[in-house]
Amino acid sequence: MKHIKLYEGFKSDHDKLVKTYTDKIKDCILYLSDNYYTNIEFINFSDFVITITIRKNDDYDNLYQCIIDSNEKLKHELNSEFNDVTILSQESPSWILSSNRLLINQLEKYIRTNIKDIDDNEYYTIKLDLSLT
Amino acid sequence: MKYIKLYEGFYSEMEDVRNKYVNKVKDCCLYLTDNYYADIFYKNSEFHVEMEIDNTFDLNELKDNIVKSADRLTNDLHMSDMKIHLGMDSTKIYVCPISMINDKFVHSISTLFSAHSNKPELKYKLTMNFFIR
Repeated sequence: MKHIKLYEGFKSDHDKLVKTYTDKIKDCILYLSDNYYTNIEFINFSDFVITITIRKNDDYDNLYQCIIDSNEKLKHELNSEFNDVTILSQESPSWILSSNRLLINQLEKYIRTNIKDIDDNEYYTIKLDLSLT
Repeated sequence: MKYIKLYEGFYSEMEDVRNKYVNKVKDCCLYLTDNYYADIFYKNSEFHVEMEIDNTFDLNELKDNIVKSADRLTNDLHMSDMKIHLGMDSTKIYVCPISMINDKFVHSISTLFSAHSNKPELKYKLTMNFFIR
């Protein structure tokens, strides 16, 4: 039986392109996704958000380096880098730290001093904003 | 001399996809673009056809051209959720779905124009917003 060709239009072309680049981002942030629960979401225009969830047993000593390595790979492969970092705690679901790319360096200090001694059910969410060129 | 291939990233590929479909929308809206100055663009996940109208326009003809364009957009590009906005500067005067572009619409607009007949310089912005699949 011959197959029926489905209508392919703007939405399908758009979604295919978003998927292609989501996969490319996935490859660049393997350092993070191998160690932490991560999610990539396309927001609008050329903006993506990478969400990392940090739980009690996660190795958050290594987190900063994984973010830096991912950022380097994104720079090299996709000519882009993280614009903003936002950290949300479960207890106070408002952002704690939001920074431009120059302040990403402060993240290490922040992680070491603030994200520790979390309870079994507690978690932190780190949002990394990425605009693709 | 061999040409240098420029970096093509998400933004440029996405622009290509959007422009391809803006051109398809242009083809469907020939009834409007042939008769009036119409600007066609993609913004905030929607396609927009924007026109400037005044009280010298034949409103019955305008209505027919809008309906014919909407029919082609539906047939060729699976357009959905079309809304027609009529405004002046930043004030929205009239918003309705395409299903309400009928004689009553013409009557409402001509009543509005009559009320301002002493100001022929007044320009109104008519926008058609819609999604395509």
